[in-house]
Amino acid sequence: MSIQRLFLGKRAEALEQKLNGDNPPPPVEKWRRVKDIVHIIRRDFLAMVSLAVIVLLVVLAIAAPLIAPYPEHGEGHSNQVDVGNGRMDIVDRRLEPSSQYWIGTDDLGRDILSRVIYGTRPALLASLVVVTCAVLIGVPLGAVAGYYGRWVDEIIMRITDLFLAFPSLLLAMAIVAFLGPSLLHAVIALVVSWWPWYTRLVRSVTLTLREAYFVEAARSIALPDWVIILRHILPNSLTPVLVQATIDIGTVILATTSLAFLGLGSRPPSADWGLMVKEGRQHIETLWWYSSAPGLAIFVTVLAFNLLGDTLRDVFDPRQYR
Amino acid sequence: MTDNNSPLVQVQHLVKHFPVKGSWLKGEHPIVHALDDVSLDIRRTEVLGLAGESGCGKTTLGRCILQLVRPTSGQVLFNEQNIGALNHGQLRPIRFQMQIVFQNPLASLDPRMRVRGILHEPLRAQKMPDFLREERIASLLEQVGLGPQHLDRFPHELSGGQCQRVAIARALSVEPDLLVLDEPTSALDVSVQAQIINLLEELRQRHLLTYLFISHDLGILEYLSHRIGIMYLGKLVELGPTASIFSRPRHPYTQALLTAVPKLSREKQAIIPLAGTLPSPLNPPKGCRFHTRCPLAQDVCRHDEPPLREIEPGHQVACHFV
Repeated sequence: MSIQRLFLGKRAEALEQKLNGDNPPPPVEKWRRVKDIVHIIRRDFLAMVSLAVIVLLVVLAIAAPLIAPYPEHGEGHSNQVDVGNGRMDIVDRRLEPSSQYWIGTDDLGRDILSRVIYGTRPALLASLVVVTCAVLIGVPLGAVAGYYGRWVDEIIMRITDLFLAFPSLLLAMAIVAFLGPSLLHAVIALVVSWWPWYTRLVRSVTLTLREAYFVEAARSIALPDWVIILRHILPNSLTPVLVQATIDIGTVILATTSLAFLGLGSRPPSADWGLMVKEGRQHIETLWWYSSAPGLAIFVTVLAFNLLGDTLRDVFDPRQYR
Repeated sequence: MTDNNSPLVQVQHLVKHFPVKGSWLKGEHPIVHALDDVSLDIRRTEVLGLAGESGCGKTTLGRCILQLVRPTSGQVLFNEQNIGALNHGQLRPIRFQMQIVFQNPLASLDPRMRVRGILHEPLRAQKMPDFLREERIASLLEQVGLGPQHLDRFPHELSGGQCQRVAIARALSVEPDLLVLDEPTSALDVSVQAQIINLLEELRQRHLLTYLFISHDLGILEYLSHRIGIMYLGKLVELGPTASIFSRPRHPYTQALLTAVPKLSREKQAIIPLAGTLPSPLNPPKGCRFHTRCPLAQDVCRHDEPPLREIEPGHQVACHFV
């Protein structure tokens, strides 16, 4: 039987070289990878739009003083008086939108448009810091828990359970209430309530990767555990982490602004979207744009990060390259 | 120095039990009896074939020999050294002397590494200097029938056969003495199978390698191996020279296994059908493990476990009626 098989095999081998039966996919040029990423984003209209929105937001945040028509705190106006938590323009308070103030002015006579533009700064910075710290804490813990299993896993996962038992916003509120309201404390509180999600995510991916043949091959050449985790486990669990992190940047912006809205985040006079929604809330019937403008900014930002996260899932999957 | 006539690997009374999570309330601690008292030698530069149904412990035996899975009891002597007693650090130099090739070629390569990185890794683990590595990798690729054009490919850009060639090159890169081939061809097309088989045979002769070849495919085993071991439910039931096993199989299980191979000859051959299904390794039958399905089973089989006896020089069978 085997002889027949091998005869056939050898004939097939020759035949196959003609037909190229053991079909390798076409070769890859050097910058193909970058090109493919661009290609995947470009073929997705929503991703392009959300990427454009995010780029715009970043530009606004960096170049806010150049772009915003008025200073953040309304400095330099003629009619100002000092009211303790900022300067107040006693003439230009609560103006309707006009060619001078595109979306009107607020309680203290400051240009709302300028403050929405300045508001990109704390929003993006805080969420970036929160997500980065949460990833840096959560991912290694998750990989270690998943890779070693047993009691290491047990200890780490019970700690995350402790944190996950509280709704994350509620936990953050409690921590800020304890530390005192400020943007920094809100960031700390959100890091504390956010990292366990990454631990869970990475642990579950690691559990499957740990059994993978290529990890076993790495063990068979006596690589130390930390090298296996760094070189094989982490790069392969990166996709879900990056997708989750992108989506979380939006979610964390929502959380920091919520905390500010509740008086547990940024303090006046800083230009924080959550604070602005809070201030405008009292005038929602007459000056609807007052809180709608920062609200819209929050909405668009969160949506953009969510949509981009979805597309990133495709981009970071190497099997998506053609 | 080690005696060249001594076997490369001596497996002595190897047992591997996997505990399974049972009902905590009932106080159950079920155990999968993956290997039960298996003893065999692997001689230098021979090919030892290992056959048997799925779940009979072939793969576990391979992994126990490599110490990728630590055996529950029993010894594995490699070059007359008991490697089961070594700790992680002591095992390190020995790991390079034995390597494994897995069943699923694509899964055995890290999807995020290029072929170059995959082949560099074991050499770097061996602390081979940079300038030697490139040369060595080029030579390895050539030996397995690939070329420098494959270096910058990702595994998913290669065909199954090419992936398996890369996996073989990786295993050979550390210049092992023993190669455990865990069904290296079962995921490949028949024509590609033949190529890989021929490649393995060529490499074995060139590098004087010793193979433990695990396979379902009796045809391949007959062609490649010098001796064949037949396993059933965690036990070695028959071990002997290939010619002897194929011409005069002694154990009723081996006989049934061999008649199940389709033949391309005109003469009718009666297939020995086996009644029932494979008993659960959680609760293996008492006495001879095969008695539940054996056409020859008598009372003695239900009570006494037959030992592996030598019936001819080099041919061992575990059956009461041989």
